[in-house]
Amino acid sequence: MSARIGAFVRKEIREIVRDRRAIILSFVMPILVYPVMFSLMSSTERKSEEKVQQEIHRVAVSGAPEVRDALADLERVEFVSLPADPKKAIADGDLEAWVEAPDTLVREGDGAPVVRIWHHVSHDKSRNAEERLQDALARAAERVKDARYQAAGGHGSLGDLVTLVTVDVATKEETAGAEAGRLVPYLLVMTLFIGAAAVSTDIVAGEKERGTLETLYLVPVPREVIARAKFFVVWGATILTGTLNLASMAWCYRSGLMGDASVDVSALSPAGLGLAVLLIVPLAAVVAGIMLGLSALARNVKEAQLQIMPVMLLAIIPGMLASGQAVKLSAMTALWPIANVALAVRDGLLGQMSLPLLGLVFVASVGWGFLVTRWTAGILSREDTILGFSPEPLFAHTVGGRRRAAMFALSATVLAFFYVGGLLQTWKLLLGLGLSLWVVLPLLGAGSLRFAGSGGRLADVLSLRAPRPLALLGAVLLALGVGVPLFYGVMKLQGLFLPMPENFMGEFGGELGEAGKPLMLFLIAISPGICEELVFRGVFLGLLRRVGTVRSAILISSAGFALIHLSVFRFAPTFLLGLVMAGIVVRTRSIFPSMLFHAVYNASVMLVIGEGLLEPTPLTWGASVALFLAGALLVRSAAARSGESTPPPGN
Amino acid sequence: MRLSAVRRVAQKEILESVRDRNFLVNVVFLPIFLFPLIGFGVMQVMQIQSGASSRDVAELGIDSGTPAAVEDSLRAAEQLRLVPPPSSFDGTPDGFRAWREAEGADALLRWTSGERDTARLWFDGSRERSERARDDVAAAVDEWRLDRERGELVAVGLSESDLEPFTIESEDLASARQRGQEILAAVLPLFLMMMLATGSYYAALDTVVGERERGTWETILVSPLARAEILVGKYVFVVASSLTSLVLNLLSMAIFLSFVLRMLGDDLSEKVQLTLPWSAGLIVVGVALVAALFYAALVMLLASTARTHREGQAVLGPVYLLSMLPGIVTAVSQDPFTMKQAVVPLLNVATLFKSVLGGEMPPGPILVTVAVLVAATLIVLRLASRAAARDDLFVGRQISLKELLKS
Amino acid sequence: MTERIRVQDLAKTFLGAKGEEIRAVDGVSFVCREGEVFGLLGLNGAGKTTTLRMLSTVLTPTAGTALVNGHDIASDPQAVRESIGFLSGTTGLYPRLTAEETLRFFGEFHGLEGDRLDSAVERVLETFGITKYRTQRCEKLSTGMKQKVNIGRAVVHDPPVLILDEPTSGLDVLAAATTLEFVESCRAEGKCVLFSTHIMSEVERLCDRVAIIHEGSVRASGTMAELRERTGQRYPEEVFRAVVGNVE
Repeated sequence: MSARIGAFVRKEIREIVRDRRAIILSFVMPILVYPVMFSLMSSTERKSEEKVQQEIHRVAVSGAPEVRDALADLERVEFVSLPADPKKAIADGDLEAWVEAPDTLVREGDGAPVVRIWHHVSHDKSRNAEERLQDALARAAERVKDARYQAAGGHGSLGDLVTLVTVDVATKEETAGAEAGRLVPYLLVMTLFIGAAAVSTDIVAGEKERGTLETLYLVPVPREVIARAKFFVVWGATILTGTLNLASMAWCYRSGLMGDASVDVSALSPAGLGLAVLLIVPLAAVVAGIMLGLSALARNVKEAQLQIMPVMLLAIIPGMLASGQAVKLSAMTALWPIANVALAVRDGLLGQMSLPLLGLVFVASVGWGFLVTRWTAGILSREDTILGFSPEPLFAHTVGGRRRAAMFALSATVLAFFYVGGLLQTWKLLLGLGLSLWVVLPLLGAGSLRFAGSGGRLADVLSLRAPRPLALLGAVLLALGVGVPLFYGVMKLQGLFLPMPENFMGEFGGELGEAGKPLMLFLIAISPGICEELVFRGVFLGLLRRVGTVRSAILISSAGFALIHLSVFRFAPTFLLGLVMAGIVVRTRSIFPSMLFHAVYNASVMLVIGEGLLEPTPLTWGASVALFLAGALLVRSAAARSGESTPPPGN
Repeated sequence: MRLSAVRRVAQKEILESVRDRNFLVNVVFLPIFLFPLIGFGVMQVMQIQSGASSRDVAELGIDSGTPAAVEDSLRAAEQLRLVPPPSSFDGTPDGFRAWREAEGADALLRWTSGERDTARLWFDGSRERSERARDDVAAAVDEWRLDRERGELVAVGLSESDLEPFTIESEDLASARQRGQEILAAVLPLFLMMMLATGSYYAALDTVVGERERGTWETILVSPLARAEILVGKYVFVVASSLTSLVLNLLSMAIFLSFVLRMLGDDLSEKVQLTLPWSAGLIVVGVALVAALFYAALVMLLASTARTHREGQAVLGPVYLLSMLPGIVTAVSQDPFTMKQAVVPLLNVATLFKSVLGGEMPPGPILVTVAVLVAATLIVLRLASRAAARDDLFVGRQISLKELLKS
Repeated sequence: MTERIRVQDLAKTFLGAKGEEIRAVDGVSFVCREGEVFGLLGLNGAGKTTTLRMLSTVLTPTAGTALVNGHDIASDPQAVRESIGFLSGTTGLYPRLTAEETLRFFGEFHGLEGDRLDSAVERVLETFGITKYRTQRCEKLSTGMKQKVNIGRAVVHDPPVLILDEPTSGLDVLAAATTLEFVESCRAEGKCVLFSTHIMSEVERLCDRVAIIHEGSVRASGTMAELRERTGQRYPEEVFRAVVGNVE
């Protein structure tokens, strides 16, 4: 069988090699693009730098003669007499700057005399003049100070009293690595995607378009073998593109085309580059798998590109994490797909390689590659993939079709809420918040229900049933108990590997705070309690549990709920809350307890925890846990009394 | 040429394209949803980075000779922890490296006091954390220097106020709007060039190559329309789609930018105002329209050399990338907009955008730009109409660009 | 004569946009033997292509069974594909591979190696008279030549069973003639040929027995003589119309 895989691989390779355009697009172009682009950029930059160096600035100085004298020896400055309207002259571009000093530098009253540099940022020359004058004036101030000191009998210069001597121990290799590490990991991820896309569209969607895929599947070998052969070819091509691109980038760096001119980037360490090549191999497997799977879903090349493009643009974002040194490669980040390799390549270029972490990155990437490949192989063996038409419409009224419809509706809701809600809130924060909760979200929910519904009474789907009083009480207790563990447990734990920027939690202050408590309670506690619950626990949980397991419905609807909170930092807490609320709905068979939970929880966060009124002491922790357990017991017992806890299967 | 026929062809193209998922995704969905989503994703990445960086504490070794005031201010620095210095240190970079390896520290400060103090700092310029430690040390040293200067001044009988003979204040005469324009001038030209190209790219591919691929080229050619009418009808459609994509993109970008500005705080939104004067807006829109006319003609000409979508993409892809170059060059260049740039198609557009958005509108170069673009458009359209008249296009043979230009 | 294909109540159901079932093939049964050309007749959309695709194991049946050369299509698809040559209007050729490379690769895919592969490729090149074009890329070949390469591709491993799905559609007179001659030569070699078409003259000329398939099920089967007798019609077109009724 391995001989046959070999034959397949050879066939694919021969086809690609004969496809001059694919070669040009995925191999030649990227290699040519960097040198051309970067040399053009750096030469333009150098030219304008030189121009700035030769620029002669027209400057007017008024006021104390000391200032004028201190500036007198400034080169490339033409001192002109003060025009009648200096500000207008600057705005018109007749003058670059006006140094306005007071008549004497003698101090009057409290503050030091002020010397102003009038300039105009819209004019490049004026901006450059301002920069130079800043430096010159700072030196002038030192000189005036020294002169006064010496006149009073002091010796030497005051500035020499303390000297800071810095010794930069970074080697040339390290400096070059730091410079290259800003850009190379990210570009590498991008080029891998571009290379894989060009080859994979031809190898699957292209075959479908030419009608040769069916011919191929008539051959007496298992479909997995064909899938595997195609995967190997895309993988290989991706590795090749990656390596060639890396070589091209390295060449650009070493020949000084790329990077900061002040850094000797030619010293880029070969070991770091070697490591990058090594890491391309597993990353290419992940990328090749994603691209192959996506292109297998398409019927022709055009469609394949349509599907690939958005995924590609989003998938390269994780690569940006490596664009600074802030995010470290750790046991945690080494597991993240795509980002882990970008971080490892950056560290390799910096010359900081930790072998255990490197091993972990490698293993994790191989693991991700394996998962993606399995997904791809599954798609490639499907009948609709081979025939180029789908035996079943995407959103058919079957269990599978309804599940896809519900998933699609959920994604569309998240996306539309992100966009329209964001728009409304940018326009007017409070009104926008109200509108997005009371108008946008319900509309999206109703649309989803219509689009992805699979029948059944509306009240059943949305769990609009009167709850037992005990269930309501349980929900309140749960809501009161969950705050402290969530804020001081989960968020702190998350902070260990995903630290929040300092100003993050303060975002909600400002304009919202001006609204007044009652309005705030309505917008932040009651409205989400009703609207978000109706849509996520009502519509989506209701739709999803009818076409899959209850567990997957809870997980997926909670993920959607967490996503509309629009921040990586809020994902985990809101996801957990979503799980709890979905659990309440499933247990009590009613949406009202979870509405109550949501409103009470949000209110408690706003009024108590957010204000810092509840510190994490053993007492508050104990009370919280007790409340939570009591609430959970009540909700459970309410479920037990209402009989069964699963909804009637309603297809 | 009958205008009604042209209109009918354009109508047919538009109807076809709004029913095409591919087209809708590329021209409508991507600008409206995907770009804000990407911008949002990038912001999340930046927040993760800033979160991680705010937790990143550098370790600085200081010896006992350091003045107490300096030590205190270093201790007060938020992302700095003080550690004991190495027991033996020869002052060489290698010695520092050995200590760093052993202790995991980031920088080392050695102080020699006396008449004149000398502070020596060993650090690693290739590591952000070490550089941050250097900045903290420099700030603490400056503070200490002022302290010492103050002492000296008082000792010779001068007052503390002589420490600072004058302060320097930088006054920008630009208005909030001009500052906003400065930002727009830096960001928008490349973006505008990209959008102009993207919009016509898909439309031209679909209307020229797609038609041939679907086998409908022949169907429309046998209708009693003149070839010029068909061509112009399609051309109108390509221009329209390019402008649609441009407008949608600008809108979504404006929304996203105001979203970002809001997140960055009230301060900035007072200082920077992202609006354009009417005159600049009109010029940009007008030139964008002329540029769209040129782009559309160029892309249609190129697309007509291809038989299939794949071939079309292979021809247009590199051209697409190349047409970004003027935008990139303009972004890094400080050259003013003069006749020199105005005569080069595309470079003139990018430079004009930058100049006009930045508030400078030299009438000469602007007029020349428009004239050059119109002339170039007419030439390219002529070539395209010749290409459309060729029979080998009709039978589906691929022709090279050279052949096309010769004919 | 040995049975080569036995189809028993084969069915395939697709789902429509509203979840309704579309029965593309609804309980088809027939038997084909060694040295026989068996015709599958039907209008476009009658279910011929779906039936043949199930026999070639590209599609899996929803119900029913079929044995090809003694192998079950559901449990042993690979052995089935080993023993068939399949040709249809939608089995394309790789445009960027040459004629010889195409034959060679497909020989290898079927497990041929070394001398056996060489001789198989030479045999096919010679039989179909394409030796002269062996180094031409498929995209450069004429329609007739392409068809010859495609047939060669299907028989390079010398299969006992041939399944041809409207092999002459879209071909010119000469290319169609090549195909028909090829079918006849296969019968002479004792192969079993399953042949679908809607061209009655081909049926008349080639088929030993036929099955008329309409709306997913077999309406009548037997030799042409038997069908003529049963319907009382003389021309094949009339026979066909009598069997399926007057459809638009």
